[in-house]
Amino acid sequence: MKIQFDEHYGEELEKHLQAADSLCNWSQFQLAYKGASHTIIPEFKGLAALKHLPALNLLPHQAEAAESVIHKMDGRAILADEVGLGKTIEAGLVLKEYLIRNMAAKVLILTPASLVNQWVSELHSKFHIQAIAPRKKPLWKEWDIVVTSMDMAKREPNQSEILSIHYDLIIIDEAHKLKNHKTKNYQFVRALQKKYCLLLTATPIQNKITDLFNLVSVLKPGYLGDLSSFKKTYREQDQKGFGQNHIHSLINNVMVRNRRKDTGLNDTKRLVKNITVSFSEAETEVYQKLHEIKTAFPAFTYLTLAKEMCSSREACYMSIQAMLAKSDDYQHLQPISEAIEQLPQHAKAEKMVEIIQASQEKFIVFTEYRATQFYLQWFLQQHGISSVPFSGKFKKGKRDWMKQLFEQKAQVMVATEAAGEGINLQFCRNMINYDLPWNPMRLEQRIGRIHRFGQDRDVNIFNFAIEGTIEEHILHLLYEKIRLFEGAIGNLDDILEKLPGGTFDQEITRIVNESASDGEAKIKLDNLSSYISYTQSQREEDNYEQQSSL
Amino acid sequence: MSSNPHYEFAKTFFLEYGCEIAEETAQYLTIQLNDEMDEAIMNRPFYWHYIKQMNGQGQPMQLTFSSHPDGEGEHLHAGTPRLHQLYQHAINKGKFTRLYEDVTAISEQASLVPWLVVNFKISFTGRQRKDTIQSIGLNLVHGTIVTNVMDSLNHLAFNPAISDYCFPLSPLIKPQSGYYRMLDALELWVNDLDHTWAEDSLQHLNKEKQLVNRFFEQQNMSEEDKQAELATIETRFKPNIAFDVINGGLFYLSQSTTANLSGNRNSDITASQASLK
Repeated sequence: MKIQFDEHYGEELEKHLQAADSLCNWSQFQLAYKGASHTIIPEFKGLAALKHLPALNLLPHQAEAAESVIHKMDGRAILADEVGLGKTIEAGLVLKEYLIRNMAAKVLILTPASLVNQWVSELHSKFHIQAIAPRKKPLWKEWDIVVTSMDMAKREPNQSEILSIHYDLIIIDEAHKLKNHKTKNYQFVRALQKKYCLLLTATPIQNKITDLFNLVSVLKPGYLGDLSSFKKTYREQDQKGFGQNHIHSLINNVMVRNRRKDTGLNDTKRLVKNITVSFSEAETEVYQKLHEIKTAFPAFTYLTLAKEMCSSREACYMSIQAMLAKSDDYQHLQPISEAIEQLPQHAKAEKMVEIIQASQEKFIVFTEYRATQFYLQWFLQQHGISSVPFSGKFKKGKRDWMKQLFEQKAQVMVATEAAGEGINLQFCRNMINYDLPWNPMRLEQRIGRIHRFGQDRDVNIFNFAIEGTIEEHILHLLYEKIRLFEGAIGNLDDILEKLPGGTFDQEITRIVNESASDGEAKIKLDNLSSYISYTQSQREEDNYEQQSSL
Repeated sequence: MSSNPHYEFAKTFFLEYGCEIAEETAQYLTIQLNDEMDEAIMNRPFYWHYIKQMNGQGQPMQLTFSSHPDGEGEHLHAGTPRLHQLYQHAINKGKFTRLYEDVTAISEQASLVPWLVVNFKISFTGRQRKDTIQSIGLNLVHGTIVTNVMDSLNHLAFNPAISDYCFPLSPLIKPQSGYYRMLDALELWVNDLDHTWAEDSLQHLNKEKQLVNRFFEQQNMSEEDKQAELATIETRFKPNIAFDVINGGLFYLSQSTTANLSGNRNSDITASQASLK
C-alpha cells in the first residue's frame, strides 16, 4: 500500500522559526486546528453531505440512490428514476458528497443547452456548489466545476482541451441521447477521461436492449461482455424461460431506478380522458384525398401528411407547399392544397377551446408541429384566452420568461415536443395532448412536466384523436390497450425492448405502411397490442409468484 | 447570540484576525471587517486593486450572521461555504508557531521543556475515503512521543514570548529530525491498523482490471485506450494513506505540563515508538 508523507514540513518549520513574524499565536493555532477538525470525514460509510445540507428536503429514495451510487457502485452509475422523482437532486448529492470527501475536484456536467442554467442555479441554491457555465472563452483547465452543453463541449477547440483533462466526475444529463454507439456524442463521451461518471435518464431503454448496453459500456466497458454475445445470452436465457434474472442483477449493480409506485409518490392520480373528435365533412374529404394519393408517393409521405392533417390544416398545408416547391406533381398535390385552403376551423381546436373554457385552471397543450402551435395560439386568442408559446429551442432567458408568464399571467401554454425535457410546471395540472407522439417514452416525458414531485393535486390528461383516422388507432393501441397512462411505463421498459420487429415507432410505421387497408392495419395493431398486454400480464404474474414464494 | 458552535467559531475567528463586532443581539451578529479580511474573503479583487492604485482608503464591508435560518443575514451551519472559507483562512494563517506556556502563576524560576507538536490529518483513500486527526508531541530533550496533545494543551495559556523568570531548555533534537521520528512512529502505527478496507479496494481494482483487459482483447481496441481505461480504474480503487500536516510548532512547556503529557504515552503510536528502539 502506498503511504504518502508530507516530507518537507520539518524543514519548513525550521525556516519559519527563524522568522518570528511568520508565526501565529496560540489562538490562531487553535482556530486552524478546529477548522481542520470540522472538515474531516471520520467514516467511510454514509453520506456526510446530509449534515451539510440541513435545508434540503430529501425524499428517502433520493438519499438511498446517492448512497448506493457511492458505496455500492463506486461512483459509476446510471440514475434512471422515472421522470419527476429527482434525478438531478440525486446527482447533486453524489457530487456534493465527493466534494466534501475530497474525492473529486474537477467536475464536468454535460446537459442539453436548455438545462445548463437550471443546473447551475440548482447546484448553487440547493447544494452550495459554485459551478460555471461558460459562454465565450471557456477556461476548461482552470475552472473546477463546469456545466455546459454537449454541443459546446464537442466544438473545437473545446473538444481537444476537454479530452486532455482528467476529470474526477462527469455527469451527463438526458443520457438516453447516447444510446447509439456510432454517434459522435457517444464516442466523445467514451473518450472522456473520467474517474467517476453518472448518466441520468428516465428512459434507459428507449426502444431496444442495446440502448442500455451502450450506456453501461460508457461506465464499465466489458461489464456486459461484447454486444453480440450479450444479445445472444439475453435471448437464450429468455427462451429457456430463465427470465433475464442474471442480466437484471448485473444491471442492478450499475443502475438505480426508482419508480413512482415504489416511492410512495403515488398519491396524486392521473385522470385520463381520451377524447375522440369527428372531422367535419369538408375535413373528411381532404383526409380521403390524402389517402387517394398514397400510391403516388413514398409510403412515408402519406403517413406524415395524414398525421399532420389530424393536427391542423396549417401543418399539413405547410408540408404540401414544401413538396410543391420541390416537385412538379401538381396533378396530385394542387387539388389538396386548394381544398385545405377552403377548410373551416379544425375540429380538435374547437374541442380544445371548449374544454379550456369550461375550466378556470391552467392548461398545457402539447403538439408535435410548429404550424399547429402558431394556429392554436391564434385560435385561443380569438376566443379571448391568453396563451404563451414554448419550445425547447428557446434560449434560456426566453424559456424562463415564458414559464413565468404562464405561471403568473397566461392561462395556457402551447408547447411543441421539444419542451418535453427539463421544464417543471407543477403549478399546472391539466394537460391536453393535442396530438400524440408514437413513442410512449416521449409521452411519459410530457406528462412528467406536470405529474412530478411537487404536484399536490390530481392531474388531468386529455388525449385528442380524430375518429376514423390513424390517430384513433394509435390512441386505441397505446393508451387503451396498454393502459399507458396509469403508470405502467415501468413495466413497459422491459417489454418494448423485446419487440420482435425493432423499435416501437418503427414497428407502428411499418404496420401502417404495409397494410393495404385501414382494416388490415387495425388488425395488425391489435395484434401488437395483445402481444404487449400479454407480455405485461405474464410479467405481473411472474412478479406475483416470486413475491408469494418468498 | 445563541451558543451555536459555528457562531462561536466565527466570532473568535473575526476577533482574532483584527475585525470588530459592530452589533450583537440575540438574533444576529454583525462583524465589521478590516481591509485585510475583506480582501481575503469578500471576493472583490478589482475593488481592492483600484483602491490601491488610487492610494485611497478602502471601505471594508460588514457581515451579518443570523441565528435562525430565516433571519436577516447568513445562517451558519455545517457545510456553508462561508464557514469553509473561514476554516481555510484559519488553516492557511495558523500553520507554524513557537509558543511559551504562560507560567506567571509560578513564583520560582522555572525551566521550560521544548516540545515539537504536530497535528496530522490522515486520509485513507480506496473505494471510499475517511480521515482522522492525530495530534502528536515529541519531547525534544528526551525523545518521548505522546498523542492527543491538543486535548491536553487546549485549556492552557501560551504567549509568543517567554514569561518572566523562566528560561527555555535547549532542544537536543532538532525539530526537523524530531519530525522524521514522528513519521517513523506513525508509519509503524498505521501498518498495524485494520486494513480490510484496502484489501477490499484491491479486490475491486483487480476485478475491474480483468474486465477491461478481457473486453479490449475481444474488441481489438487500441492499447492506448486500454491503458487510459486502466489508469482511471487505478485512481478509483488504488488504496493509499496520506499524512498531511495541519499545523505544528515548537512549544515550550512547563515541567508539570510535561509530566502530564507523559501520561498520554500508553497509546498505540507511543507503543510503536518503543518497538523502534
